Amino acid sequence: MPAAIEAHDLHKRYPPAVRALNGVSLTVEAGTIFGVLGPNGAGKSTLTRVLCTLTRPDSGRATVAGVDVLRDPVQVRRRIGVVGQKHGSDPNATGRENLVLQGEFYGITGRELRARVAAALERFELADAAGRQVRTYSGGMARRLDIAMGLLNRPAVLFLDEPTTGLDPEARALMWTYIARLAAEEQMTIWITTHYMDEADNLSGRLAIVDSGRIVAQGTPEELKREVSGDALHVELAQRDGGEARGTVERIPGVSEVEIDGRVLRARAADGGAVLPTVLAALEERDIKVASVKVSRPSLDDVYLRFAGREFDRADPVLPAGAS
Amino acid sequence: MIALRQTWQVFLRGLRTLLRQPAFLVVTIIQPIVWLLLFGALFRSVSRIPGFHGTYIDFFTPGVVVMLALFGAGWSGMAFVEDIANGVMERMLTSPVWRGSLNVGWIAYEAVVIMVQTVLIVVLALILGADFKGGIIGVLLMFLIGALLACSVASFSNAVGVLGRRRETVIGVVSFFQLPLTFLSTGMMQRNLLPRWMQTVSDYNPVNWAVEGARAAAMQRTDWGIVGTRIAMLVGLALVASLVASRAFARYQRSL
Repeated sequence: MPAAIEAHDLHKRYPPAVRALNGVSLTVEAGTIFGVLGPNGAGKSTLTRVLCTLTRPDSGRATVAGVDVLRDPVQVRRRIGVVGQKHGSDPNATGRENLVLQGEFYGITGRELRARVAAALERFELADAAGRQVRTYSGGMARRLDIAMGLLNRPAVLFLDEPTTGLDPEARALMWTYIARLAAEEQMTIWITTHYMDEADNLSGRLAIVDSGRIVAQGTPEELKREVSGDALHVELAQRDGGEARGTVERIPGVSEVEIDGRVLRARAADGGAVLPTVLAALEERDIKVASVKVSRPSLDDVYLRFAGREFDRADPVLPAGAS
Repeated sequence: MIALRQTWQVFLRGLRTLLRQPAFLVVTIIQPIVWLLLFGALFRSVSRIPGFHGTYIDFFTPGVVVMLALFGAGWSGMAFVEDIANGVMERMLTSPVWRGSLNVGWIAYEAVVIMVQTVLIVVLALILGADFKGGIIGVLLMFLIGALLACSVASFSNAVGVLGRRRETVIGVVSFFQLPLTFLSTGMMQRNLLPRWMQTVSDYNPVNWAVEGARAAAMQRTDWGIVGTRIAMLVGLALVASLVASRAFARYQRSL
């Protein structure tokens, strides 16, 4: 099967000094969910806009659903659905009117349009609210309408740009269910950008981590986590330690990256569970009291830290709001 | 064909938005009535100035029609500001919709609104004793002239909307032009009573082209020379304005 999305060496600058894309290349296989993870301003929205034909790159090429985004943007538009960061619906129109207008924009008319609109309202549980103006919808309902609008033309590739930002946890969970079901039932390619680690981890088959306009890592969430060497050990000591604890643990075979921060000792091990008894025994031998222990599988936070070289939460936006 | 259909849908969207906002709808209906009555009463004594011919209501009715086109269609660009802010614009731009329909649909909507307002003006003017010497044809030509000016004004306003992307910008730019263009025309004051420099300026003022054309069509025994040239000039202006609007739109797209 040909790739659903292919990008080659995309560059985009926003004058005067913002380099939003700094040589991005990637391939997304058809029928998969592809997650793009990065903090605000990393360039993931710019990348999405280039692929959706909203923005022209300064250089580089890209094809979406087999069509070149620069040479034939109109054909690309016919083959994609887009759900932007902001609501794309007209708040003064009803849910049904929004869907009808959307269909007309794709040249879908008459009975076919009415049938698709009715099915979309049903599927996204908006049938009861179809005659109400969107300004009266809850955040979750409006988001569902956005997705229904994005799907109305039965796209080959669906772009979701931060689809759950600003939603409460319940609406977010519901949205995840919809997205996962879409991928399973329609064999559609779904591109989803997010700055939530758990969202990327949960939904995407493959994942790209974007930082400062570059892709710093790519793979399945499992592969990426595997590249971060092993499990994280988290040992809380009963009292501050003068460095003895660190030295003790460092000498244990199979343990690496030992750090101490106040009373907390962190380390990595290929198999955290297996090495833990040895660690505890070694500390006990030196009479170092342990308050609590935790072993955790590497998370995408660890992956991000490793590849982007900084902690996810502390990553500063490099773009002004709006240009991201 | 499909472009026409999409334009029609954008037009319907505008109309629907108007009908959904009761306050705005009421203003749209009351405004022409208030203007004709209020300004008519205020400037009644103008007709007693030596050198003024005819009644003030006959003189002023075309002026109100043109002012409504200028002041109503001037806010057209606000819809673009709203659409950009709401994300509606980007959603439309990722669809294969014909780009022109977004501008033309709104312009058509503004033109229809001014025509409805003109109906109210004409009825009210008849009640107040206006004498439409141009007959039905003349009055219809006045409708056309009002709609043509509304098209140009709406196009310029849309251009300001997509380039400025802020309500304040649209309000600032549009209100900067509205009153001066009104007073530099013969809408409220007969030409021979204007200072000489204003007479000269008014020759280049599209609002005045519309006023003179509408007056010559509806209120006098139709003077085809004046009506024809004024309509031609307004058509030319509308073409220029739509070119400006589509250039502005292309520039907006490039800035994304």
